[in-house]
Amino acid sequence: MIERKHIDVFIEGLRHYFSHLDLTAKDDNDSLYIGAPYLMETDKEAGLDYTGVISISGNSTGHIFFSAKSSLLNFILLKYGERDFSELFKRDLVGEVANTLAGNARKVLGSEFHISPPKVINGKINPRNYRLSSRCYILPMRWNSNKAELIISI
Amino acid sequence: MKLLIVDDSLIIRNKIDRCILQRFSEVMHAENGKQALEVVIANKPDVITMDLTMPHMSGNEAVKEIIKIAPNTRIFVVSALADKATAISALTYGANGFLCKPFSAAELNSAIERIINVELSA
Repeated sequence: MIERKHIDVFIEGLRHYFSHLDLTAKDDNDSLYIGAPYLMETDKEAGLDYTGVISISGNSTGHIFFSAKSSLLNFILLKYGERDFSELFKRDLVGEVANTLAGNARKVLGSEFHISPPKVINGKINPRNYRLSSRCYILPMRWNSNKAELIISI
Repeated sequence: MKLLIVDDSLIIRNKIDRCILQRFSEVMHAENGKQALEVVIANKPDVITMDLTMPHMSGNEAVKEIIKIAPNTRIFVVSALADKATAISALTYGANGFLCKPFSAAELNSAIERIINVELSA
């Protein structure tokens, strides 16, 4: 079952990740907005244009999804110095962001929080394809006005 | 000096490639541990940056094999796995250093400098 520490660690992970991209911001992450987490309706599709999926095993089981609008991925690619905004690069990036957020969570959740290599899906998450937790949280965020969601199903 | 960058993410391989200034005369890429072993055998890199969570062969398994065939290669792990146990385990497998993702160009270059300097002073 998801606990407060799971949500806190992923909020902190998002802040940490985007602060590394945002070296020109006046304060840490002044262009990052993280909204209040809310429960996902697990009988409906969720997510945005591209989604990186990490399977969790060990002391917790479930999935972590990082789903983003194409415009957000374009912006991050620019920050990485890429000039190729093709689907190949967006899929690679969304998987890498999901992997980084899930991997960083081990700092708090411990080394028995095992993560898989990322899988990537185009478009929304079909809940029928995953065993989602009955209490599955969506963390909405915007970075420089571009939307993404972190979905925690543990 | 030759550098091999091992990561299943093309974007991370490109980022490391762009960040490392011009210290290396040759930079090679591999997408997983298995491919890294082939590059090590064929090209004998001096320094390797190694991701851990990869399909086909994990970073730790690759480090273990690389140390057997090229014991003088300096390897540092670049991984999102941010817990201490992972860092200690990577060093136990034979890596010389550990850098956590996400990283800045300065952090990457400083990590590379450290392991190269260790080699020179050893």
